[in-house]
Amino acid sequence: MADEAVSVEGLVKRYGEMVAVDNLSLRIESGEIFGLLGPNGSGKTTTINCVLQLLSYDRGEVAVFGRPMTATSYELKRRIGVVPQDVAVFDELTVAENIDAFCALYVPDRRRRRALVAEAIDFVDLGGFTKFRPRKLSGGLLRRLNIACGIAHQPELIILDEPTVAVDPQSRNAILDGIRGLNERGATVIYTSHYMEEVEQLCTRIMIMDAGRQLAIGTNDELKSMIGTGERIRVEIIGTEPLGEDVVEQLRRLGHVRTVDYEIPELHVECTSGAHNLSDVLGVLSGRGVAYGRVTSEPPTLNDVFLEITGRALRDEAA
Amino acid sequence: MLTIGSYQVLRLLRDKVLLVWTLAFPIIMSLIFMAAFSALDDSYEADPIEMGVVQDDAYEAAEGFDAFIAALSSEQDGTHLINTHRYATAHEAETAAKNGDTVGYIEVEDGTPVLRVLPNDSAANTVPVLRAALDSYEQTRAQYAALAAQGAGPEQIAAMQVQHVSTQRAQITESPSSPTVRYYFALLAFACGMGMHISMLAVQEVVAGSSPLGARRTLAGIPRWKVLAGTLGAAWLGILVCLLAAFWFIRLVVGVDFGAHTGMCHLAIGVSSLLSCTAGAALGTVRGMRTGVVSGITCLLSLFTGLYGTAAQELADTVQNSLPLLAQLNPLWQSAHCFFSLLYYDSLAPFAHSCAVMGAMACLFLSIALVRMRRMSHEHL
Repeated sequence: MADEAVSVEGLVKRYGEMVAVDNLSLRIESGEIFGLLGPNGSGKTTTINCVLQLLSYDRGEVAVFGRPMTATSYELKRRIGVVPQDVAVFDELTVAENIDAFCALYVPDRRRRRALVAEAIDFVDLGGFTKFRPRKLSGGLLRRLNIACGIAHQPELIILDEPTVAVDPQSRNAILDGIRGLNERGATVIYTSHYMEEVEQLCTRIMIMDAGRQLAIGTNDELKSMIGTGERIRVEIIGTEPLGEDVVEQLRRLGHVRTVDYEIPELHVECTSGAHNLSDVLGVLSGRGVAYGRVTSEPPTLNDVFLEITGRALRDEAA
Repeated sequence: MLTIGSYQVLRLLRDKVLLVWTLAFPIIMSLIFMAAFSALDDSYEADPIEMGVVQDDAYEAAEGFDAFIAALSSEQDGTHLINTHRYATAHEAETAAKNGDTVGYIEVEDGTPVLRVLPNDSAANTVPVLRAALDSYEQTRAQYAALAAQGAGPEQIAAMQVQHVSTQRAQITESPSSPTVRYYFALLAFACGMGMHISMLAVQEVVAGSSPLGARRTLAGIPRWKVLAGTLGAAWLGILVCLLAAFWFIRLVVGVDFGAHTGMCHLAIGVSSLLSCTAGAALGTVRGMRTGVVSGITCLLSLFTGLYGTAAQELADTVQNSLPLLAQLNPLWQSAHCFFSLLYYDSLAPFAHSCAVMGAMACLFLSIALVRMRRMSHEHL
C-alpha cells in the first residue's frame, strides 16, 4: 500500500442518467509516469477531479499515498500538484508573483517559498520573464507558467491534464523534458493527453478508457501486444503499370497478413507479429516482377492501439 | 492567509477597470455634481449691475428715495444691487445705457420709481431682484402715505418700520439643510453598491465551480477557511479604502457637509463596505454571475436613493412613505440613510437603526456566501 501513489476502487460518477465513470478501479505506483488516454468525454478529467475531490462521486473509494482522500485532506493536498487543462493564473500578477501566490496555498513559510519559487522559475526556464504579466507571454510560456504554478511546492504526485495543448513543438519538448525531470526527482506523474506520441514517449504505464470504463492498461509494449497488428509495411510501387488485383489478392493470402491497401503509388500491408513478414511481402512482389522503391517496416504505434481499442468513429467534442 | 490577502489587494490595485468603477467613478461623479450644483447656486446670486439714476426734481421730491438708492448701492449691508451712475435727465441716462455704460436707468415718474433696462444677460439675475426692491419701496411708501393720511404720527410710522420683517429663516437641525447633499449621500451608497464587484470577482476565483482559478485554489493545501478569510478580508479592505477615499474627497474637495459626527461617518462607511463585501460574495457564488448584472442591480437600487434627480427623489420619497419596509430592505437606501441620520437627526438612534439593519443584512449575505463557498466540489465541468 505504501508504494501506491493513487488507488481508486469501484469509482462511479453519474450525471443524472449518464454514467461518466463506470466502476473504475486503478492503481498507480509511486515513481510512475502514468498516462491516461481516452477520447473526448471518456471520463479522464472526471476521474481526475474525483481523485482530487473536486467532484463528489456516487460510489467508490479513493486513496492517495495509502490514505483516504477527502476534501479536507490538506496534508495530502500539500503532496499533490495539479496543472489544469485551462491556464489558470492571475492576470494582474507577474510570473514570479503568480508562482509565489499559488505556492503560498501549500507552503506558508515565506523564506522557504522564496527558494521554491526560484527553483520553479529555473525549472520551467522562465528566468527572463519573472516581471512579465501573463498577457505579455506567448502560449508556450503561459503553459510553462501554468506548470510552474502547479509544481512549485515540489509535490510528490503531479497531475497534468493536457499540458501541451496549443503549444509549439519546441515548447512541447521543453515541457516533456521538464516532466521527465520531475519524475527523475521522485515525483509520480499522472498525465492526460490527446497526443499519442507524447504519451508513448513519456509514460511508463498507460490506461485507455472510454465511456467511463477502463478498456486497457499496461506498458507501451503490453498495450501493443493486445492488438492484432504487429508490423506495418509500406512499399512504394515504381513500375509504369499499377499493381494488379491478382497481386493484391496473393498478398492477402499470405499467412501473417491482416489487411492490404493499395493507393497508387503506395502499398500498405498490416501483419500480425512474425519474423519474415517483410521478406514474404517483398518475395511476392519480386516474383510477380513488380518494381518497388522505398520500403518501410514499423511496429504499431500507440495511435494504432488507441484507435483499435476505442474505435475509429468521430467523438462529440461536447460529450 | 496574509499572503493570500496581500496578493488579493495587489491584484485589486492593478485592476484598472475595477478601480475605475469603485474608486474613480464616485470621485468623477462628485466632481460633476459639484460643477452642476455650483452653476445652480450661481444662478441664485444677484451680482451688482451698472445702473443709471435720473436725479431730477421728481427724484428729489420722492420721499426717502435717495436713501433707498444709497442702500442699494451700499457694499456693507448685503443689499448691494447697483453701482449708481447719476444723470441729470432721462435722455442722458438713456444715451449712457445705449452706449453700454449702464444696463439701464431708474427714474421717478409721478412719484413712482420706474426701472428701464436694455436686454442684457449679465443683468438677468439682478434685474428681477431690483424690480422687487423697487416694488417694495413703492408699497412701503404708499403704506406710510396712507398711515400719515389717517393721522399716524412719525413715531408710530417709525415703529412700523422696525417691525417690517415678513419672514425669518429658522434652523431646526444641527446642521444647515441643503438639497444637494442628498445626491452625494446617494452617490456614496452607489459607490458602496459598485464595491460589490470587488468581492464578487474575488469569490469567483475561490469557488471551484466558478472558474478554473477557483478550481485550482480549491486544491490548496491549507484549510479552506484561511483561503476564504484572506480573500474576503482583502476584498472588504479594498471596498473600505475606496469608500473612504470617496468620502474624504466629497467632504474636503467638494465641500459637502456631513455634520459633526465624522467618526460615526467612518463607522457608517465600515458597515456599508461590509454589507457591500458580503452581498458581492453571495453574488459571486452564483454560477455565471457577470459584472454587468451587479452594475444593473446597483443602478436599480440607486433609483430608490434619489441619485438620478428630482423625479427619482420623488419616487424614492413615495416608496419610503407608502412602503417603508420595502424602502428599508434596499441596502443602498440604508447606506444613504446612515449619513442622513448623522446630519439631520439630534439622536443617534436612527443611525444606529440603519447600521443594525445593514449589519443584519451583512450577516445574512455572509451566511449565504459561506454556505455556498464551503462546497469544494462542482458538478458541471
